[in-house]
Amino acid sequence: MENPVKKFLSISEAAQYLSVSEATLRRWDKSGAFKATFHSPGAHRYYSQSDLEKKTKGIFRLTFDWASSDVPYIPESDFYCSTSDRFKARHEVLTHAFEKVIALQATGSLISSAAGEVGNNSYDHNLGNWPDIMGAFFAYDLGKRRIVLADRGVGILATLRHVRPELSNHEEALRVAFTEFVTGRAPEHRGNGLKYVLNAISQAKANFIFQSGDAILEVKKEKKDFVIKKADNYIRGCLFLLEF
Amino acid sequence: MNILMKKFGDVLSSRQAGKEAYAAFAPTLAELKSDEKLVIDFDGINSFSPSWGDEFLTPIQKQYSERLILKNTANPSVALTVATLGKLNGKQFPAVK
Repeated sequence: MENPVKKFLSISEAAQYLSVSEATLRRWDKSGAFKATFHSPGAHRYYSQSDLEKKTKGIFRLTFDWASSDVPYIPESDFYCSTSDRFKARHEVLTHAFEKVIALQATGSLISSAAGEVGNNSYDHNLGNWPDIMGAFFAYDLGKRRIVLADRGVGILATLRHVRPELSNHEEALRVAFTEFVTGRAPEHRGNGLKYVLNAISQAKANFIFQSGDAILEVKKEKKDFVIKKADNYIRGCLFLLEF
Repeated sequence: MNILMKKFGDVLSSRQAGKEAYAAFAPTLAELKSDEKLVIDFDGINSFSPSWGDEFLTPIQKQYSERLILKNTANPSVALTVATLGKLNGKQFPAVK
């Protein structure tokens, strides 16, 4: 289980984690190069596990490593949302953060709603069926204008085969998921969020990739259409990177 | 009858939350008079997505189609979600700005 006690490291622990001196961390904190997550009332600096991970790996690598790991593990990170309630709370924080960024006021609602669809899909299509670790990884970096989402669920192909048993590979499954009105939760009339995601992100003039299995769908803002290609690595569930 | 969507929150995204919202509001909807218009007002909505909308708007569209009016749909995620649901349901929603 996630251990909240380990989420915040003292400056000495953080220095050890990053292989730098405490003096370097103090200098980074003062200059703003890498600020402490919070200062205690006694003026001690504390660093969150997720801030340290972000500093060392970047959020995409961190998410990818979790989603693609052969050995399942529960990440000790506040990016990890074990339940949809946790995802909802973090998604609302992100959405309200967009309001404060003037450049994102026109497109923030589209980006937020697209991320909401992708994140909620993880829970809607895997509830009760998680192969190993339940939940989704949800990280964002407003400075670098990136959102990353991933799950270790059953993936798009397995989900769509409930209604399209003829689908033979992950590339076909991605094409259907992003272009055709179908549902992966037969016989219910639902499951069309990814078409919305494609339209919303195109309208917001952003880039994204979506991987499931060994297939990647890629959309670039300057291109009118998407491409689907073979991925170098296999991910059973889903991985989504949005750059805006 | 006016439904102020922001009373359900300003970030409306999950299917589960949309379903709960519809179930909670159903008794109020039942009080709609037979000749009364139903206005759904999106003023103050920050982010709206099709999963939430499908659980809330689709059953309302099915039941009150001819009397339904959507208002303040200028937010890009509201406009796109309403258009997506209209396409999905085979019937567009009547909207005023």
